[in-house]
Amino acid sequence: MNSQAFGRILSADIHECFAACRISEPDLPPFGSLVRIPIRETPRLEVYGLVSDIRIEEDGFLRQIASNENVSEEVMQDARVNRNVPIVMRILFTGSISDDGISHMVPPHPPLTLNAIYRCGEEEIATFSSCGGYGYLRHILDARDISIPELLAAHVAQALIANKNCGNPEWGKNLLAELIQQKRAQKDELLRMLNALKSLDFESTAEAK
Amino acid sequence: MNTTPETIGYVIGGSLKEGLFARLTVPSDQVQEGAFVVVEHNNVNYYGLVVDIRLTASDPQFAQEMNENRLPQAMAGILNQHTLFTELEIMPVLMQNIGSGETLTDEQESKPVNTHPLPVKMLPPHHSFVRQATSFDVKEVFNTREEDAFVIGSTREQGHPIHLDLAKLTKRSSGIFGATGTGKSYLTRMILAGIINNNKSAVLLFDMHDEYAFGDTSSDTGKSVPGLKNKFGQRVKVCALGSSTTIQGNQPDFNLVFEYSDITTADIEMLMRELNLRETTPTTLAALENSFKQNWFETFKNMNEFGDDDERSVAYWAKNTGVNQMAAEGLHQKLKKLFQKDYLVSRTAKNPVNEIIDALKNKRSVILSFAKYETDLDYLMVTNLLTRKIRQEWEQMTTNYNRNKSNPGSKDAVEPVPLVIALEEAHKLLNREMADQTAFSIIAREMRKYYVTLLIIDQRPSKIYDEVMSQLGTRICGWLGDENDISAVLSGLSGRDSLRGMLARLQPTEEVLMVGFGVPMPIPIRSRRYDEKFWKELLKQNSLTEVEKRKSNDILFRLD
Amino acid sequence: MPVNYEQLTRQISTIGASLAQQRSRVSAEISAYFDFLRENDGQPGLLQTLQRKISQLKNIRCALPRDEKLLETFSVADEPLTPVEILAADGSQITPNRHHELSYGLLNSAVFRMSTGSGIAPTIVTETLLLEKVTREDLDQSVEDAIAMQRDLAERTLLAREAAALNSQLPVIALTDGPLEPFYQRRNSPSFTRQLQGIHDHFSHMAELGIIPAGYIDRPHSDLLLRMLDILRGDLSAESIGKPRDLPVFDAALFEKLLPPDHRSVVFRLISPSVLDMPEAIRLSFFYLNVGTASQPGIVRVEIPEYVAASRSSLNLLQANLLAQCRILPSDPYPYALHRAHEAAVVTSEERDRITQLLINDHLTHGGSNLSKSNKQTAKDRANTRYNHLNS
Repeated sequence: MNSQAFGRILSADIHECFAACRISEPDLPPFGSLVRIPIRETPRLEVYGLVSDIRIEEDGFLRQIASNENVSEEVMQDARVNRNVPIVMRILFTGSISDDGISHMVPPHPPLTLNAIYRCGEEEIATFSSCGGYGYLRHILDARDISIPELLAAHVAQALIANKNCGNPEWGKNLLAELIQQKRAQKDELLRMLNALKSLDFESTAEAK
Repeated sequence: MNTTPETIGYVIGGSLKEGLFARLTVPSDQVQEGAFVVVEHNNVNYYGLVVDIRLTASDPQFAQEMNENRLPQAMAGILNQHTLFTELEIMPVLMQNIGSGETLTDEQESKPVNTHPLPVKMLPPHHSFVRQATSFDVKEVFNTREEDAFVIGSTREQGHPIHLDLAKLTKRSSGIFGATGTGKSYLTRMILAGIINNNKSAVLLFDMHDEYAFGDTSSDTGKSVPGLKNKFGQRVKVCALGSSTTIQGNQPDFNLVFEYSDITTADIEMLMRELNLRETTPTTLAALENSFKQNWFETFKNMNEFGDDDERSVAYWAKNTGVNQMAAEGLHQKLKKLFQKDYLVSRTAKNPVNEIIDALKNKRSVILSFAKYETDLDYLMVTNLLTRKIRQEWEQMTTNYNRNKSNPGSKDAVEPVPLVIALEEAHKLLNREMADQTAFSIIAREMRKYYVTLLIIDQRPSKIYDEVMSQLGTRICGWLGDENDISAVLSGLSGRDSLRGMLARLQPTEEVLMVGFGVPMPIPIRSRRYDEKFWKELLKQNSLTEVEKRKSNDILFRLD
Repeated sequence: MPVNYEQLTRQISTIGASLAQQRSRVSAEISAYFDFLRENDGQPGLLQTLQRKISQLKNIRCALPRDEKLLETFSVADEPLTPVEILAADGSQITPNRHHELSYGLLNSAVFRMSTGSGIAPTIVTETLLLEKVTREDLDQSVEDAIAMQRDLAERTLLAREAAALNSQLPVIALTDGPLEPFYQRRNSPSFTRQLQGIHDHFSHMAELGIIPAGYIDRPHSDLLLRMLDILRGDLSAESIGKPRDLPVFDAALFEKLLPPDHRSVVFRLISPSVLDMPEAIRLSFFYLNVGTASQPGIVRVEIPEYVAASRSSLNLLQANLLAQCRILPSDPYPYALHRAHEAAVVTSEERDRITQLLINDHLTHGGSNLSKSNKQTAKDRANTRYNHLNS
């Protein structure tokens, strides 16, 4: 379990939140990562979510620099390391954990502003994604204003490796079956998702490196 | 021996009228039309037949495009598995409460547990599991008293042996149908062998082509196959039509000839078409019968054809009795075909017809070979003459028995031996025009109570009169090409629309559909081969003690 | 009360007509200046004449050429751009506001440091000073002026300190936004003198270290050269010194005609009472530089101390690096380092609110009470009117 928070909540509702983090954070979670937001310790409540969008805020200054043909390395480093422009992450809630265990329902209440966010490790991803019969998939499939196939593919790519490494090699195939069952009535949507997933290795059961 | 039965699908809908619909969970090519399947729910087994298999998809486009071409194999496989389906249409026929196998509560005990399968009156709920029938299920459904059990074949998928209940088969008239070359005569041989071996009924077989008594050469293997006489010896009497006739070089037990006095005018009327008789014939025949009583045939035969003044001439008789001379002479001319038959004689030392009847009464079976008399005229004449006699005899015996059965000491208080009359080319005698005139339609309709039933063997069931077809209790049918024949075989049966396709798609050889009274439920089977193995098992069965029989029966199951 | 757009529309129309008329007069005047400049370019004895005339004028602010050449321009296109350390300083302040819950001042200074060609991320140093109250020299000095001087001192102190701390083998350029000239109303108080001396000391220290300070004035509204020409022409009387011109004519308009893109002017000495107070080595000169393009000239003024003005190589280095800095933001040429220093120094309204909240919390912790905004401020806030209290 990672102990280093990488960002803090800016705003939240019951389905998702926006979080800010600095571009220079060393362990910035990529798109599709599972993250955890502790709300309180007693009784325990932590919210799980997927990084569903990463936006680097732009300003006119950056636009000017970008329009320059030759941007020196120092200027690029300055923009990345020093400039006070945060990365805003959209986090789609997929469940929570309490003293009763993992739930794939939306959290009972949203996290509070400035709550810290932690990136989940492989074991945590495998535990969350393999319990509850893929119930959390519905949050991804019902998400609005998000490229669902891309989010799904990014998440599955990470969860596939995590589950293989945690001794659950059939996770991917079972997920495909669940996905197809849930979306087979919407053929075009389903095929878009499968196309997004098709480069992933669902067959190999060997542990991923 | 039984392993855990594999579930092949689950119920997704249906009605008692339309049957059950099930989604298949195994590949579509693992289930055949006609498969004997069991739907299980709450200790009730619903036995049924797969009557249709349909490929379907959650969205037609999933079926129209080759997903394998644009998705990785594993993914396409899972996609196909969840979007492309096979649906079964199942005709539920029987249901059986099999009990839980656990200690029953008072409430459960108060509910009747039917140990035998009953016609289906309920439906299993949605998502009840469907599985292929096991040998245990087959035994449950085709459960037959051991002495009457006869293995006629096996289920097509798993090869579980199917028993035919000979007692039921012979209780009502039955039919064996199938186009030429479908193994109909071998099947008939086996069934007749079963009946004879069962020793509860006598069989009279009209063997038109001399193939049942002394064997034949198999068209499939080129090997000779044994006849019923070869195997049953004195239990089967072989009778050849005509004096001093032999059958394939074999001496018959006796020769069949009829005395002229056996022939009635009704026998002649029945031959209207074969003899091309005119409309005036019945009048002339009636006059002949009136003039000469039971000697009419012999007297008429002996009349001279020509010479008006000759008192032995036809013209003379006609004039004196007021019969149209031309008609009488014409009839005489046409009956010449019969006058010339050497199986019709003036007198016999020992009436062979009585010999046949005696044999049958004594539970001996009789095969009547027509030998050289192969014309329809011979067949119609002889079968009708003999059957009429037999019918009279059995009616008389039954009447006597019914009168005296309360008096066991009486010599007439003997129950008549059940008789099965096996009739090849049955449509010649039981077509719409003839049916009312021959004894056979009466036998089919009424003689069950007089212990006589028919076993009709034919390749064109559509030509048999509907009234007769509808009386057939059990129908065993091989492949038929003609729609009308298929309809005729299934006439009067419930679920015939579902069975129609199954019948049409039987393998041309060795597969038969059994329907009707003699089988608890319709079932397509792979029929047994008529070979030495069959005889070995059948006759061994006969010579075993009861304990040995039971063991042997188990072996039979395994062998099949 | 909403703006009276009816009145405004009429006024805009009147002003528009007046401006159009003014533009042609400005153009004619600039042309006249330009012609006069050309006539006097390279005239022997020009420098002596000017020195003589200027010495007769008190409190004059104008340019003085270093020799007789006036129209020469300089390009560094052929010189290689060598790595330098560039430091840029900027500062911002919160001016106390009696209408707020707590009246406090705040100075925020930032220095942005960039090693050109190194590929290393620049660094930023900020210093924040909270002022409980702003000390004024006398009643005439406004709070704004007082805090601006303190800010400049803080900013330059930080710049000089950071530049001195570099200990680099590379040349160091230290940029500030605006003039290097201490531009305050002169006062005869010890504290004013001390503060001014502090600024001079920082320059002197940088001079000792060979650091190249430069004050970058974007869109300059100075008329130093025009005044010099006025003096030369004999148009400037002692009475008219310090009075505004009738027309808005500036040196920049003259150099738009004169300077090709990337070229600088000759270096002029800055004649001003405050400069004359400075030690000679750090007295200020300036040049004009065109950071724009042929179609869109961008004339800026760059102030430098004497020791830089006297070094051709330092001048070239400064010119080349200013142009390189401006090219990072090509559509609005302005030195990148100065822009970043400004970004680092500026105190946003959110930050100001947060600081205020921290102060209030502390005040309450120590038993304070009765904190409220003025009625005026409360009313303004309710009306959701937006005021920007920040200056940089």
